[in-house]
Amino acid sequence: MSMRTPLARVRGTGSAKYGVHHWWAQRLSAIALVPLFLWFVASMTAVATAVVSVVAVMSTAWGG
Amino acid sequence: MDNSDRPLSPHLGIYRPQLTSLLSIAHRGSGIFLTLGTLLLVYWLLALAEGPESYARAQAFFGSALGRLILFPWVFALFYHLCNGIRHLFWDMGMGFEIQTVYLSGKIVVTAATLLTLAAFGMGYYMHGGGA
Repeated sequence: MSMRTPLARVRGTGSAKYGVHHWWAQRLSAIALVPLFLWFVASMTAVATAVVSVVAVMSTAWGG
Repeated sequence: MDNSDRPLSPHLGIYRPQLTSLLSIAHRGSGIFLTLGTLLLVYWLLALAEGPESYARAQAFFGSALGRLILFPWVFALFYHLCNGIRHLFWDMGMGFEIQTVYLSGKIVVTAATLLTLAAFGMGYYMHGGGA
């Protein structure tokens, strides 16, 4: 006996099929955040201690 | 029918706090704390956009005792969330679920986060010339 609802059986589709995409998007953004976090702390420390001027950081795409 | 004396499934209150549960709660807590801290980041950026005087005021706030009292735990929360996030990535691959491994990785995460925080502030004070 099937546990699926009649509507799901008629459609022939179970889940929304977005799960794998969401899983990968979450993992990849998490991995990308690792170097970005370190860069953020390093550049903020440099700005906060006036090693580089904040205007110089904000004037470039790289922030440095 | 009265069901009030039926047994309840064990919930948070019945467990002795353990490293595993505390770190799990700390991951949530640090995430919320980091989100709140981004409001201060927005304040800093707005002050920067407004001009030199308001930027100097913002810098003075972050350099004050209260500012540092907020910044230090915020940076620790950031490094803790970062390190524990990497721990979560291993779990997502199905690795490190043995009970000894879970405790060991937990201790590594706390140590790494502490060292990274001290390194960041140490570097900050060093670059600043050891003063305020």
